[in-house]
Amino acid sequence: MSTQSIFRPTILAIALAAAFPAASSWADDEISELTSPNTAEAAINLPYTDKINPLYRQYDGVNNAGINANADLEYVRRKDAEWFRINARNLGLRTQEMGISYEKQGDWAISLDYDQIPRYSPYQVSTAVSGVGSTRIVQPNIANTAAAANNANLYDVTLKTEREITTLAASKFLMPGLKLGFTVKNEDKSGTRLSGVRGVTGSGATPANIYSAFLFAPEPINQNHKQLEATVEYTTEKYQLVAGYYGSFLGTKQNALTVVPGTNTALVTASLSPIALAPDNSVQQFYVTGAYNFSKDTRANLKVAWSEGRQDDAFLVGQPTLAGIGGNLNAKVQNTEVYSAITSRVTRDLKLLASWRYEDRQDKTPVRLFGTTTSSGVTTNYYNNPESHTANWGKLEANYRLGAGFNLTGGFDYTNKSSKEWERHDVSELTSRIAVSRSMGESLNGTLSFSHAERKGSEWNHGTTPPILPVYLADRNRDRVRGMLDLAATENLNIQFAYEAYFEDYNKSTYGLDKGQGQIFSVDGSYAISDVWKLNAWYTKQNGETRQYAQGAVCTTGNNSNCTVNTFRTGTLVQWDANLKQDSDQFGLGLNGRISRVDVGAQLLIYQDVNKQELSKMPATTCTNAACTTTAPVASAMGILPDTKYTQNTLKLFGMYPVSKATRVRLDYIYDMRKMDDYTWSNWVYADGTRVYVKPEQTTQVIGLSLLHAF
Amino acid sequence: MKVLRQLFASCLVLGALAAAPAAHAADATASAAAKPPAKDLVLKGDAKCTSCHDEADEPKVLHIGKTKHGTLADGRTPSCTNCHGESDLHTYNPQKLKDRPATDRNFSKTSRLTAEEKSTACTACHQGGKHMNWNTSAHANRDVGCTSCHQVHVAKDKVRDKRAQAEVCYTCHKQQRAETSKPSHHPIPEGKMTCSDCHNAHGSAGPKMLVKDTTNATCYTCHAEKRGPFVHNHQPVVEDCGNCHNPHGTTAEAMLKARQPFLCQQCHADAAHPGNVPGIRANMPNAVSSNIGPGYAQARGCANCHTNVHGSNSPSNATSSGPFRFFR
Repeated sequence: MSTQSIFRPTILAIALAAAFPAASSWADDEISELTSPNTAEAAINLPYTDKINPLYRQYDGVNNAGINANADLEYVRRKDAEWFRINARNLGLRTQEMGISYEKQGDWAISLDYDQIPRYSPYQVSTAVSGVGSTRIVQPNIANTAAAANNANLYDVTLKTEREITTLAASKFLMPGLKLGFTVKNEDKSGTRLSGVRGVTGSGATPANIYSAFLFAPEPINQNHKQLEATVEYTTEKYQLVAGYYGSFLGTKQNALTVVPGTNTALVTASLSPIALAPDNSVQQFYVTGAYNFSKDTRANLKVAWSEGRQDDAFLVGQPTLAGIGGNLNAKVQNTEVYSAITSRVTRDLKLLASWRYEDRQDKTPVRLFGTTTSSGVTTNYYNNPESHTANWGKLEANYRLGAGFNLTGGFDYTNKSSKEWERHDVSELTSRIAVSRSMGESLNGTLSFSHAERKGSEWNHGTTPPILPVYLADRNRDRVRGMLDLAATENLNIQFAYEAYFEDYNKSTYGLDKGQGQIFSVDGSYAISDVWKLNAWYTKQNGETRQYAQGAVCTTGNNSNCTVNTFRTGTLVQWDANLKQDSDQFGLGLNGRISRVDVGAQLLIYQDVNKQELSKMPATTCTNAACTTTAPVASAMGILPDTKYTQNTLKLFGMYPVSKATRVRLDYIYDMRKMDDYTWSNWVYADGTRVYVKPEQTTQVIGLSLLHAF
Repeated sequence: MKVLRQLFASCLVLGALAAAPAAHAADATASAAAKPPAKDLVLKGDAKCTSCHDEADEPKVLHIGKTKHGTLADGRTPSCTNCHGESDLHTYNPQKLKDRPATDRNFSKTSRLTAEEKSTACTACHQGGKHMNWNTSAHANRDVGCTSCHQVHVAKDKVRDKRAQAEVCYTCHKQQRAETSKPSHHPIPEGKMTCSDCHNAHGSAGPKMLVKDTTNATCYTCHAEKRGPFVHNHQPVVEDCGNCHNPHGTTAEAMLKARQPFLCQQCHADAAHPGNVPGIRANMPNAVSSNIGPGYAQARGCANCHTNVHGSNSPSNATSSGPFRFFR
């Protein structure tokens, strides 16, 4: 909704009002209207959706074709310094939100907001599993694969989660500069999320369950999250302070998901059921943050925060456990965070910035023995693994005005992270960067920046460099270049070019990430065709490439020890690598204007994305049976991954006609076509016969009629 | 005589008519001298500006009355000159220049002021609370000023509207615009989330101007179930959610930076089964694919078995596929 003035005064009008006293009263009225925020508007929306498609439905909250009536409301009243507001959007839909607030500006304020956020799975599910949404999933009794696929008990399930968020906020100035604030946010999240569990291949009648050993086990979600924040702010011209408390309390209503196997979908002997669900947990933080102006050119900042997290939810039952683990983890994590900074314009042209940030995470959870395994006479103990780490981030930056609107910025960013639990106890990264920019040119502005980062670390544990270094600990060089050009070609035409690229090189690792690079180029244009008609358009090209190495089993001639079903992991390993490529193009167009008395607009988005997974160093042929008596070319037989493609074409049109000064009618049309060609769920059938799939092309059309009225 | 009388009368009338403008002018001069000062229309002392500027200008100056800045009953609210400067050269144009000099603090695109100089108009009042760390923010140090994003003279500032805010941010952040259009994204294009849910554009004590002090703490404001701690913690999860996820959007499910198993193989690919070659069912010979092969690349990838990859709180001592490896 927008508020439109029914009167556009000009100097002439005011002059007339000044010249002719008789006219002054209406001039005051009109000025009052122009300066008053008071609004009372309502809209009734009647969108008709021709069909429900999962990709379009994901966040829009509409799960029924046809008309989904909803309403918007806006009410604002200001009297002196008191504001009263009511806002509501999408009332009647699952995306509805509303808020009410009352405040005396500069004195006190109180508000209450409600927001509903749905998320529908972008996939369709057909299953014979029962108990979806509950904490007890029962697998069907199926004799074999053919029976699973043709089970008469298959039914469609819509997986979705929904958040309902209510926020109450209040504040009060106790005296000029001294303000108390309080916020409590209550969020209920419920629904079901796509999930699964490992079972075993069935051993029933021929053909045995050839699909997979995986069982469909959607995760039920039923949790409450409360967040509270209380602050005391004191603000003067010289310094500012905030002291606060933040509490976050998660309560989950279930801590275990039981999966009951059916015939031919057994779970492994030692039982994979129940599955642990997220436990209750909480964090409480106290913080003080402040800033001090040493002069108008020099300012320092400091924040100190301390928090403690707890997790002592009762352990799930029904599992074999070792003695001495207690009834819950009794976890305790203490975090200390410090941030300090100083900025100073030391001369007219030179500005300096220095900052330091520190984090100390101490996981003080008691360590206990939770499991043991014995293999070949060797016993391995499994303890819980508290994760503690410390980190420091430092920044030093100088900005120098070169004149003529040009700026030169250079700086260093330093990061150091350490943890005794990591395979490498200490990792540091130094980034050097330089940028030149122009910001005050009449027609041409822009920026160009380069940065180079080197990440290195201490020796790996036990002094031996492992063959694969975890991606977040590995040595790495990274270069970045960024450029942006803003061209005001004419008074009515603006064009913006942006380019960004990165080049990464992970070194000293035999496996894992090797090299990566990515680029993005954008051009945006906006053109004021006239006072009424505005046009904007943009195009973005993004691509990236990542190479990584691995060693694994390939069932091939001369390597057929890998062909036996359950010895994939123990056969001779081959060296292979993957080159992951992504390429996307986006084009957007917007046009707004007026035809006669009708406001009109159009938006177009065309988006195409292609991902390639190129696997190389594969043997030329692979076995097509366990005995390796027949072979076939790798490309078709070993499962080289096909490209994945995603396309979205969306056109939105609207027209709004003023029936009267207070009433408008709006017509909307949306055409949305999405294509997903993705192997992720293609031909996938769980061992229990559940199919999860994506309709490859989905077209949704919406025609909406709205009536807007200002009271 | 009659003719003379008529001539005299005519002269009187003409004289009166001729004298009228002069008399009117004299009245006008007297009136001007006695004219009361121009009346403020919106803000305290705004007559200095609104005697010339009105809704025909861009921005529409009177609309500031609809905003909190225009709420006169709040004694803290400014006048035009608090933000734009006294601007006497602009007001009186003493040199009678054809192009009137700009105001002392001009916010237009052609302003000769730096972003920092423009922003001092705002930071004079807005330097506490959420604006505390503006001076250290990437925005403040990259020539982004308050008015680069905010519209001060309008009742509805676009960047403060949840549905429209991202468009303002995309003016500079093209990569984020591209990524939020990808099939796996937060509901930003749908208007149910916006950039400021995670970022404080005015600066923060956290990384990347996040609203909380760490990346994980920011994510946990909505995803607290991932916080743990768990019996079995997954190291990169504790370290930084951003190790695996790109929150602006990706083509892989769950906003993962790469598809499984490739993402997992960036840390686990040198021993036992984690480094195995992923395949898809349509291309796999059944006899050797029944257990592991397609399970790497299809459906939930590695998470087909490793269900609790964010951490498991199962106390189980199950020796096969136990919680130690996030199976349950």
